[in-house]
Amino acid sequence: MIRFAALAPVAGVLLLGACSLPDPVSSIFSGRDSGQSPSERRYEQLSRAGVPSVLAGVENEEGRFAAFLKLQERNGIGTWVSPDNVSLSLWNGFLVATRGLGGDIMSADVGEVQAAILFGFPGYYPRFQSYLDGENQTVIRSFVCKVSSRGTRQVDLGPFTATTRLMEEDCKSSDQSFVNLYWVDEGTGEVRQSRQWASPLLGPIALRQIPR
Amino acid sequence: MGRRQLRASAWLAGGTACLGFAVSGKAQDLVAPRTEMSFMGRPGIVEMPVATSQPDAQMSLGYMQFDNVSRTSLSFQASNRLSGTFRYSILEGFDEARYFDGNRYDRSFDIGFRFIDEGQYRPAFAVGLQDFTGTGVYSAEYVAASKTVADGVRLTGGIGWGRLGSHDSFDNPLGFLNSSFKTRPGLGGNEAGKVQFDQWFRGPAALFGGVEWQATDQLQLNVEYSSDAYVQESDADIFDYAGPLNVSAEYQFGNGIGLSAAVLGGGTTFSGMLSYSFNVKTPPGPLDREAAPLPVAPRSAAPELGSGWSPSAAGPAPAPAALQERAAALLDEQGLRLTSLTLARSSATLYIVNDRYPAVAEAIGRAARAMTHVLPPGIGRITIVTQAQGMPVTSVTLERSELEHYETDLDGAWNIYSTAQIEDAEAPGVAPPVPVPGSYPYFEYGLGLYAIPLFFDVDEPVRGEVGLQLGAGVETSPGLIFSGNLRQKIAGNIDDSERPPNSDLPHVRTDTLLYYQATDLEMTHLTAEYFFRPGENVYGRFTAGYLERMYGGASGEVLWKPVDSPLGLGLELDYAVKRDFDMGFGFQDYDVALGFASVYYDFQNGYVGQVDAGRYLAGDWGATFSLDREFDNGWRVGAFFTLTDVPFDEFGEGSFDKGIVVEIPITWLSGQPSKDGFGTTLRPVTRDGGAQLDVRNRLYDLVRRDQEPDLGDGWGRFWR
Repeated sequence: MIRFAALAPVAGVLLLGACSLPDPVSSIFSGRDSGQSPSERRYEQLSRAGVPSVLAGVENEEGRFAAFLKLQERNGIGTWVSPDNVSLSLWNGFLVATRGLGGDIMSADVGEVQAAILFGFPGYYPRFQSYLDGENQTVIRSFVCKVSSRGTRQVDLGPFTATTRLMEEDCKSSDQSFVNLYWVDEGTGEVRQSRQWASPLLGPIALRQIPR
Repeated sequence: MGRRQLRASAWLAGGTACLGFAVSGKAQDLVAPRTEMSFMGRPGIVEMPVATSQPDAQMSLGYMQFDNVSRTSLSFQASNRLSGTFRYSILEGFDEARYFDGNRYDRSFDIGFRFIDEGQYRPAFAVGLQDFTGTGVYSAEYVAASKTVADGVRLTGGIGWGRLGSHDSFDNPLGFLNSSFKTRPGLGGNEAGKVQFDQWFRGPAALFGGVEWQATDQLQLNVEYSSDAYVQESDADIFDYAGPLNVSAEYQFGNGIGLSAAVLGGGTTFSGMLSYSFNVKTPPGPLDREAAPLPVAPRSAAPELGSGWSPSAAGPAPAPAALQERAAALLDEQGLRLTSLTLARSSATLYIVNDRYPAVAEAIGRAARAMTHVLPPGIGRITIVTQAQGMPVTSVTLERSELEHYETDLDGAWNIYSTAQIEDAEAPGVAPPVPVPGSYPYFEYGLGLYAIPLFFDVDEPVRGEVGLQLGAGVETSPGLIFSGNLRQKIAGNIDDSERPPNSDLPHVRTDTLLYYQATDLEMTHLTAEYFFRPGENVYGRFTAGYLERMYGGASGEVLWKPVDSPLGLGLELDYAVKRDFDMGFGFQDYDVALGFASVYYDFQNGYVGQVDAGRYLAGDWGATFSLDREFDNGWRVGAFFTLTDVPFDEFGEGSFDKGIVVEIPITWLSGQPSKDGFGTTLRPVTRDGGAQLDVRNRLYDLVRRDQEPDLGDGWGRFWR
């Protein structure tokens, strides 16, 4: 129950996003073609091409969310961009890098937790994330994460409702701890919705697929 | 944070003690009180010093006031053990009519060095020099010992000389070494500002001590028995001294701001202090919201070259125009300028100008990733050459497959660094540039505001000037640059000063004010510059015209600095003619030939040293020594001094030139990429001896950011 209360803000961001931006892609760009930055132009082209999109928000900062469009995929890792030139790297729905958010994840090794969560193997697994410190040096943090299932949940994605298994990843290091949540589609195995901790400065990021 | 670090260092110190005595106990678990700034603006109790230090790279600003005295201070923990403090004090009525308004404006430097760390039973020990170059009001020396004895409680005791040996003093115990220690020689009139070697640790000594108590996380309470009797202030009748007890309470708001109140002089004088403390290693945030880079493109998505173009077997050839255009557009989006792109059978070489990223590795990383979107799949090797003022500096060669492999790797920055080939741009095998059509002439202009703050002037704490600035330049071919800059003052009080130059030397710097007074429209420079590479590891510059505010002439420089060497050697020869005060095209009849041989050394532990030996503007011969602490985020804090053949008494106040420099990168404050920064040089006094010509674009500072070890120090940003 307590855990569920902690989840409320995520749902808030996601719902707010879903309500105020029923079609985020087209509403942002209606009637604008001139004076665009290269990143805005690229975003609009992607939008016209109908690439997959995901809604992402910084949970601790109200109003800081956007629809991210998939720019490319390489070695299974997709790069998703926003019109204001922030990018997220997702590997099967798992956040492995951010750029331009402030306090970015430079990279992450989530191989074991990902397998455990997507295939539903509870247990303890390692997770590694790297950052830049105030002197531009790479800092690698390691966590031990307990993966467990919270049972079945329905996720309303607008056009349809997905039946998902809600997986919890409870991570700890010597001085940091966080809980990540993944709503994994029981049919397709996709991560439909998630809440993933990025960094001490940024806190958790809420992510949700936008079906087209 | 502060408490954590102190706790950690106490633990480490405890660890060392354990090795020595093979004991372990609870003492190492004691929580030490934070080391806070005293009312003297350096780590201390109330006015007295302590032996412990602030965290490395901690910088503290303070302003305190009591009765007729105010002190503004800047304190910096220059290393784990060494701290330095600059203090600007105004003692109202101190001088009666000796000087023009009876006030004493005093600039003083302190240094403190912790030479023994705190152990389980052993206190920390430190030695310090207070006001060791200034006018001598605060001149003192001390040795102090501090020990945390209970959670949040620290005791300090020490012995002081000079001002810190003025209450209840006794014969100098060092007198048994040599009887000359028993008396402290007086100051000669003109010797103020000289380093007072012959005074240090001389004359009567006295004991001081005190207790710091960290009552809560925010509140610290201090009481001390002071060995400073405020003799000079009492004599001048500006301080009511009743006894040696000082007490203070200090409140920390948790954001670096602190507020302290004290009762000084045995209960007679109330004092307040406002302070701000921060760590240079930690930007205040918002951190780093630079735009995202382009990701490495999948090789399968890379465009093929159109038909009708094939790489020449003979060597690299310019890329097709369409490819150059696409590459230039993607680089422009990253804030980089493409000046050459050539292709060989399986490799590409691009020359870029980076005006945006202070970490050169980031410019290289962004350029490399952008190029994977436009280079044909058959190109497996990308060479990026950085340039400074048209000179190719460093060539970094990256395998495209390594970029593809390491972009998402956990330690990807290190991995790509270990496989990158970093060499001099003039090394054999680096494809020479073929300018992209339309790269030259390259025009640039800027219209903006300028501000000149002058801190801690002899008779005004802050002087300044703001105005409009128009600068323009054109690079007609690689390295040949014509540029000029005009300034129109809007407001300011720099020219209010009425201090005539009183130097016995030619007035090469002491009449700076006359330039401010003569005109509000200034031509700050108008020059032709040529930058070139005479060969591998060697850089050249020639500058002619109106070089700086006060001098015109010509300047030539050669620098030897291999790409991977911490050592650089330079030679500069100048001819300078003094400009008219109105800063137009005219000259005065003072001219001088000068020049330096310079040695630069990067100690690779954050310190960079420089020695310039040669002839200065007043025709004096000597050498300048400087040592800077440099941080990988762009901060620089350093100190310098110049000794020349001008005798100390002819030099005048200060005896010789010295000062400290502080440079703050804008990126550190804004989180946006910029190569700009704020810089200031604080001198106790500006005189004519040991004065250098202020030529723009000296070679070492132009090229070193692109070279090792700086390049590698910033490599964490390669994938940013």
